[in-house]
Amino acid sequence: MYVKKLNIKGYKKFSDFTIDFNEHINVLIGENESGKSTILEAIDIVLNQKYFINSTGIFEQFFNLDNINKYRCDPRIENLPKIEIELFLSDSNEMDNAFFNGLHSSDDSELKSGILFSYKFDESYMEVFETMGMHQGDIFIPTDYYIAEWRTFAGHKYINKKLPLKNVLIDNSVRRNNLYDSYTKKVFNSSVDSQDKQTLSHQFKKSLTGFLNSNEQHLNIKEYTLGIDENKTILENILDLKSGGVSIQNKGKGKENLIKTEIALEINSDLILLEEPENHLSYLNTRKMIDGIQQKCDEVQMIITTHDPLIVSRLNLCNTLWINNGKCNSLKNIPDETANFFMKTDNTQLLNYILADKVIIVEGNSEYIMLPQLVKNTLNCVLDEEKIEVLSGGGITYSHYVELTNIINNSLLVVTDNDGDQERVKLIEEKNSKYAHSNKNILIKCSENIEEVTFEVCLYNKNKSKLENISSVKPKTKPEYKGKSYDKNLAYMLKNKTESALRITEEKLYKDKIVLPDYIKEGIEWLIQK
Amino acid sequence: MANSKIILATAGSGKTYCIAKHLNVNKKNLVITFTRQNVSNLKNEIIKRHERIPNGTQVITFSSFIYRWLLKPIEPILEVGEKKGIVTSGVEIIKEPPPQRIDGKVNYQYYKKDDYRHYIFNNKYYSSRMAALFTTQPKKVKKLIMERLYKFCDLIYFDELQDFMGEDFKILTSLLKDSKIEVIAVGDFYQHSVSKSNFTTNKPFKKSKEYITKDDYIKLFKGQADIDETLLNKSRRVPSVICDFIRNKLKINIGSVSEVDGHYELLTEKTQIMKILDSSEVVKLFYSNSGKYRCKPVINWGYSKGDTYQKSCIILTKTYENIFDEDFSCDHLTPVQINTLYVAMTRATHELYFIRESDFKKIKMRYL
Repeated sequence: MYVKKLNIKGYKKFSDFTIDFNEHINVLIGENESGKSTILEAIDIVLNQKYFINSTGIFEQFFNLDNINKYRCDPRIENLPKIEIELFLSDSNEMDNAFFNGLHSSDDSELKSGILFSYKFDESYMEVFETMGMHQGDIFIPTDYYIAEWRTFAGHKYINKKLPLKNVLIDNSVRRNNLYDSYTKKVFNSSVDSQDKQTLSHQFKKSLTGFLNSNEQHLNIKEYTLGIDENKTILENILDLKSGGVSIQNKGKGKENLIKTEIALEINSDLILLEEPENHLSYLNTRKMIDGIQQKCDEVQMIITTHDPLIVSRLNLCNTLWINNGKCNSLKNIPDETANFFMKTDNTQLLNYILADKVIIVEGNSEYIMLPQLVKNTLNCVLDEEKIEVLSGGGITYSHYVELTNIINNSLLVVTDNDGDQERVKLIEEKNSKYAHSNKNILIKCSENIEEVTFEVCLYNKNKSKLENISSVKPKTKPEYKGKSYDKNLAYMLKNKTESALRITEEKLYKDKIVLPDYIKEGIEWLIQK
Repeated sequence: MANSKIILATAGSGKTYCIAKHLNVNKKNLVITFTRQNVSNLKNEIIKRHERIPNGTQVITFSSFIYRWLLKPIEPILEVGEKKGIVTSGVEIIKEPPPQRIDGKVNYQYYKKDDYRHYIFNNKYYSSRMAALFTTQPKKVKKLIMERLYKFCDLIYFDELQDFMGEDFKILTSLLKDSKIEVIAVGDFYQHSVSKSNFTTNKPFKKSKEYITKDDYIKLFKGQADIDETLLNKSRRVPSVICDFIRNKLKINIGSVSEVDGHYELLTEKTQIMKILDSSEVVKLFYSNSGKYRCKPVINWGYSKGDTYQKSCIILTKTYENIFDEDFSCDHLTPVQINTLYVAMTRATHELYFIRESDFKKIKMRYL
């Protein structure tokens, strides 16, 4: 059994959010604060009855801000903020699953299995609310009269003793305090079976009593006795996870992280929730961890939040769920070939590509280096401010990015060379008209003049007068490149692509003066408009 | 009917044992009985045999079955009187619904079946009307409920078959008729109409004012299930001398496989009578109001259903004053009268004593 779908209403970022999960691997990506962790939290609340089980907590922080504002503007009982989290389980004919199966879900036309958590005003206090007399200025949410409830879709009360999926949440982000303790507790609870746990706990208490008895005389002080606070000696609260005799707390963040993830993978659970597993890990350790995840992925369901492109590409792009603007986009329809391509190439720019609204893919390093400055000089604008991401494509791979754009619907400009090939120019024109025809935001640009073989040639032609001394740093430069004769300055640029790119963006003589070749300028103008 | 089977058993023949033995741990089983006491008897017997309640086996009471399996999961489309989709908060176990008539007079607090309050009080179902609520559902709703049942359950065992009456019996037969589920029902025909609570119906056991016979009862299941009358026709509890006596006097066919050399006798001597009444080892069975007699342990005939004692003593009613006479006949008695005594007579594993009403009367005051 696995988590099939989650509906979140009125919780934190999400006013009305739906996410469908894959049976095995799910990689959640998105900008900071997009709500990735909130999704894991929501699962924890529904399945494990996290947070809301104690009625004394302060839960206002969990409400969706829009809902709070709506209520503040119009403090009526119907507008009171509420939270609903609905967790759908995969279908199963096991008898135990009957406890979860019924029509008490948002999809009440069909029998579904799952659990609904709700936190809302208890309507039996309706009269109390009416006499509270909210006045403008001191409007508050009467959470004292709120009720937290867990029900299965069969309409039965849910308690986490009936947990349908053994799960473990590993939070490697540093936001929460004391996550270490709760982690150890979790390991203890899910790896030791309940009978053994009882025995251990009993043995522990017994030895404490033994200790008290054998030291009775030292513990008696006049008419008082020193005893032990039972609340502080609950076994699972004082356990410490060790590796090689050393507490993993003391092993350094990276090691702690790796050990925690490893243990999580070993624990016999059905669902593993991993929060930013790459934190504090080196490239090699991240790869080691990914290998671990891959080995395990056929048996369990994993939901992983990450900012690491390596994790995204290695765990197959198709498993990626992209959280953006309160919505979830699945990349499962990406063609296998494209997914395989990214899986093999450890593409470090992939995440930037998916998360950006507008992307330029350039051919090589020199364009990548110069583009921001040249755009500033030519179009009087800053790429970052236009939220345009520049990626270096390196050759023919842009076709895979085109496939991605088809799925994620961002805008893509490809800047490429014509390689002196008229056929290629024609082919690109055909592609562009095809994209325009099917309303795709994709444009491929190259110089139409086949004499302008590469970017450097185009750039030189456009800025000839300003570049006439650029070769002076290497006076011995021969006026030829790859057996063809060129102007000496252009030959220098072709032979020293990176060096000249750096000089153009740094030296006073060029920095504010060099402008974009026309085909790139047109392309960027197109992209800005999108 | 999918291999559905009805096993007609005699008192003390090991119905519980038989269910526990028949249980296939690889299948999904629902074991259903009427009382909580029987639920725990069945659970104990299953644990004895399989070490624990197997995964995929549930033992529940019939009302819990109706609530948890038939009504609650589909509440959003359930039609309750004129309303639909009431999400209730459980089952009302204390308050009984106001009856249609009290002492033959119309009761104005009664709600008709087209009013949701016929079924629901304080947002909870009246326990005694849940079965009727299920049987009145439209076909479409019933179909969904049944589909859900098949999905999670291969086999349903019903214990105490003879206690299924009225709407409960309708549910039982509709499950028997269904081809997608296997039903095994075990019961003792001759224990029908003997129960701890009052009945509001006597269907199917009474037909146009006449009680039906065992053969009539079997005919009710024709085409729905195979009837097995031999598997459990011998009592493990009741010694053969007592079985002989029952066959002879009550015309109920009960055999014995008990190895105990049992004993029964009519006590007529005052000292003998008092010795037994004073013994704490002998359970005294009174027709009714047993609680008021100071000769513990005591119990009512009907309430002793399901119990096993080593020694028991039946204080007879006027009806049975002459049961030890050669020419005693039960022909003029109703099945309710016969069955109640049958239950009382089949409790003891070793010794069974009888006291005539006329003899008891003489010393009654001592025990009040």
